Amino acid sequence: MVAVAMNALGIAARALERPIDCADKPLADALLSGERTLAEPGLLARLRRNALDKLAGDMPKYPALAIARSEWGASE
Amino acid sequence: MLATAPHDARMGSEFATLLSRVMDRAIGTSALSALTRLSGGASMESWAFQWAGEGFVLRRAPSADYVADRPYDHAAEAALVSAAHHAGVRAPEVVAVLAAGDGLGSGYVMRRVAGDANPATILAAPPPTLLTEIAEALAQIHALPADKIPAAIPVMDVAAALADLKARFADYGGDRPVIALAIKWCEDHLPPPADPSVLVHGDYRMGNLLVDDGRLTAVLDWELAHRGDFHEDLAYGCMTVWRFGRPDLPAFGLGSLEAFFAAYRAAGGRAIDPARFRFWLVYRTLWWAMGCLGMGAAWRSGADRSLERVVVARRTAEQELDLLLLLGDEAPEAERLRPLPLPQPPALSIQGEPSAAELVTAVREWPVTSNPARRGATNSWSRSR
Repeated sequence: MVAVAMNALGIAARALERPIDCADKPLADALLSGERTLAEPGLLARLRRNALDKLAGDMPKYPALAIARSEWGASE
Repeated sequence: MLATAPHDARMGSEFATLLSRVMDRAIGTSALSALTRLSGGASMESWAFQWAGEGFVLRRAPSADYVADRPYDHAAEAALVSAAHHAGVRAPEVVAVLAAGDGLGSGYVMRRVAGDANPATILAAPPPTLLTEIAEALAQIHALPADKIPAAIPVMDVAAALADLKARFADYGGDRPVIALAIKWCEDHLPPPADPSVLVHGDYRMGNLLVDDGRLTAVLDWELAHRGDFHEDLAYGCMTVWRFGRPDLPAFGLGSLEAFFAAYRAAGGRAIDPARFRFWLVYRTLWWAMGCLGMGAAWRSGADRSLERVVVARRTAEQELDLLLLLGDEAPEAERLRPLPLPQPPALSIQGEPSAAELVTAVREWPVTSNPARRGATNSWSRSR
């Protein structure tokens, strides 16, 4: 349990230091209806950046994070 | 299976007495020993113990509430595990099903199978034939004759299940764009209904596969079993998250999809449709993203106030990353190759009084031994679920 508690505090500390907000209801609604798609210039890049930053705060040790960074040409 | 906590004193000797009565009936008179809590959350428990010189495992839900939101009860689950075992599938042998008069809640007792299900241990030095054995065992599950599957095991209606995920997404705020994208993709790629006579294990992945001395010894955790599209089982263990430390090896963190599919076919497995495989890879990744979000909701509602729930809820981002890795492939090339925007800089300066982040960091660095609340705590989180 200590490890889980420390993990929770780590997530909190990183989120306070660099808040990442993934929530975007209007965009989610537009993607759900098909009104907006990944063909829209810049949308995929923005979603990728958000996903990397959010995960770096929440679960920085997730093994696929490094793979996604390199596949998407992201710097740390 | 890992022992994670000693015999819980709260249970006292009454629990042992009641369990002994069940074992008297099932196996014959002996004495109970080495009763040890294995794992489980608030609603489900696993216990290991010795009886008549052999090891057994009890899976039980102390409260009747467990059955309320489940498609079938423990008797049906036990009947399925039994049917699979007797058909030659590497499922545990069920020796007793708890009855109402046993006073232990609902559940069943299995003969304990030797082995370790810990993905980290297995994937650190994977046995060379393990992927083949995993494919063979899966082909056997999918070959279980329809008349051997207990009637209570339901057929999965995929369109209805997807609609349910969509409704839950709305309940949780409906504001995560990547999850919305995945729901839309699944709606657009929903495969036609599959042969409803095929048994699907539903949780076939590293963590639920017991390995001993280089061999697959048992397939565990049958509680999500249903009838439906067998591609679901092929895809589930190939999800990025269930490859654990080996995301570079697409099949169970053990090898290539080609090798996995070839072994499945060689074992008499069914004909694989790549489009269905991809659908289930996306669907079950979406499903687990919703599962993670749901844990946050369960904690908030008070249904399960455990620390694990809150932390697992923050694993939603893992599934969003994996969904983007899957679905990004379908974007136009110009979008796939577009450089990413720069990351957000840290928000706070490092001057003046300590920030909230620094306070939290200070608590993290506080020595565990000087914190009475933490003393004596043990790690009980061995299997993600």
